[in-house]
Amino acid sequence: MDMSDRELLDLYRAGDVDAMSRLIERHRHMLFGYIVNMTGNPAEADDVFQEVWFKVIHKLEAYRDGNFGGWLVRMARNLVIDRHRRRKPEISLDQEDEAGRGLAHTLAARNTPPSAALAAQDLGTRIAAAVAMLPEEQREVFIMRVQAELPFKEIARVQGVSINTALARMQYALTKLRPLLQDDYAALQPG
Amino acid sequence: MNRDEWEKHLLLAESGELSESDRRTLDARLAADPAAAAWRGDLRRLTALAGEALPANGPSLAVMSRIRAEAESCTRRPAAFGVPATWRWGLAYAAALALIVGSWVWHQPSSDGDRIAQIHAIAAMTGTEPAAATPIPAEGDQGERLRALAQELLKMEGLALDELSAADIQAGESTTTDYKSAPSAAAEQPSGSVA
Repeated sequence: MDMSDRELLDLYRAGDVDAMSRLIERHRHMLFGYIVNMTGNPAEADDVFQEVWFKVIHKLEAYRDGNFGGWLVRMARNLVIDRHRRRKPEISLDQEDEAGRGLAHTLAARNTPPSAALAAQDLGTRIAAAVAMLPEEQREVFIMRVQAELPFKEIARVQGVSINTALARMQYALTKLRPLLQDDYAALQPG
Repeated sequence: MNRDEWEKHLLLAESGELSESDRRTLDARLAADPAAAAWRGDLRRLTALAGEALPANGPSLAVMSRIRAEAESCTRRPAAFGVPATWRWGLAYAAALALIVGSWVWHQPSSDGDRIAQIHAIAAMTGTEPAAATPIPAEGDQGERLRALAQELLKMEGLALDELSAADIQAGESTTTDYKSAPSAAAEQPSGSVA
């Protein structure tokens, strides 16, 4: 039977380093997926991922009972926002470009220009580009739900909004993604 | 249930957050409404596709190795006093408070002699040098000791207590107050005299 995150943390506190390794492995995919899709930069995602786990190691007592994955995502989110602020202190994350997209969206999309990516044959690139074109809040909800597999209750907590707002953002994201992926999507339809 | 509501319920059902009663309502809706059933199918296919396609190759081996090393080094370090960080500030405040209270108690005069010495020290600082201190008996009759102490205090106020009995002193604050506040009144006392 799998141990809970809390049990693994307690084991690590007691000196079992393997317990921490198991914890990292358990959340590696979802956490890195969230970070790399929020930053759009694998090298930066590496740094943030490391920083999150260093925080976990040094601030174990800060974790209260609750969704451990949600706690990780909250820390990662704060680190990503801090990094963007440090890099461009004169620009607000909320500041929108001509198309009404936030800075975080621009940063995430900078390595995969939507027009070029959509023209590419690679399905993954096209989907990533379509997700990167979503407004920041919607993209974040989509990534937290699809990649990090967080429940909406936790997503709402991370974003500091009501669960109804988180659900509405997911609805908007899905509504926008479906036509963007129409070709790939149609190919999946039976018949 | 309108479209917005059943879409939200579908999302909650897929994430396992829908209550049992709402799930039954949703199931009835899905069975009766082809649009709702189609939307659920679309949702599942789209999220599966995106889940596989979005980049998430994982951190580099170097990062994993650094995290592991940090985890190992931290388990070797002893925890600070074995006390949770949230308690440490509380303990620090308690220790500081104990130090202040202890210091105050330590500097309190422990005997009548100490108190007189303290009074003289204050008088010297304020430029009202009192007369030479009368020795206070360390032991013996309580009334005698009180009388000596009161005499010393009155001397500092410029008064004398030669004729006042220990019983009068013990009679209470009012007697002393009369002497302090009204030297002329003190002069009218049959057994007192102004120094």
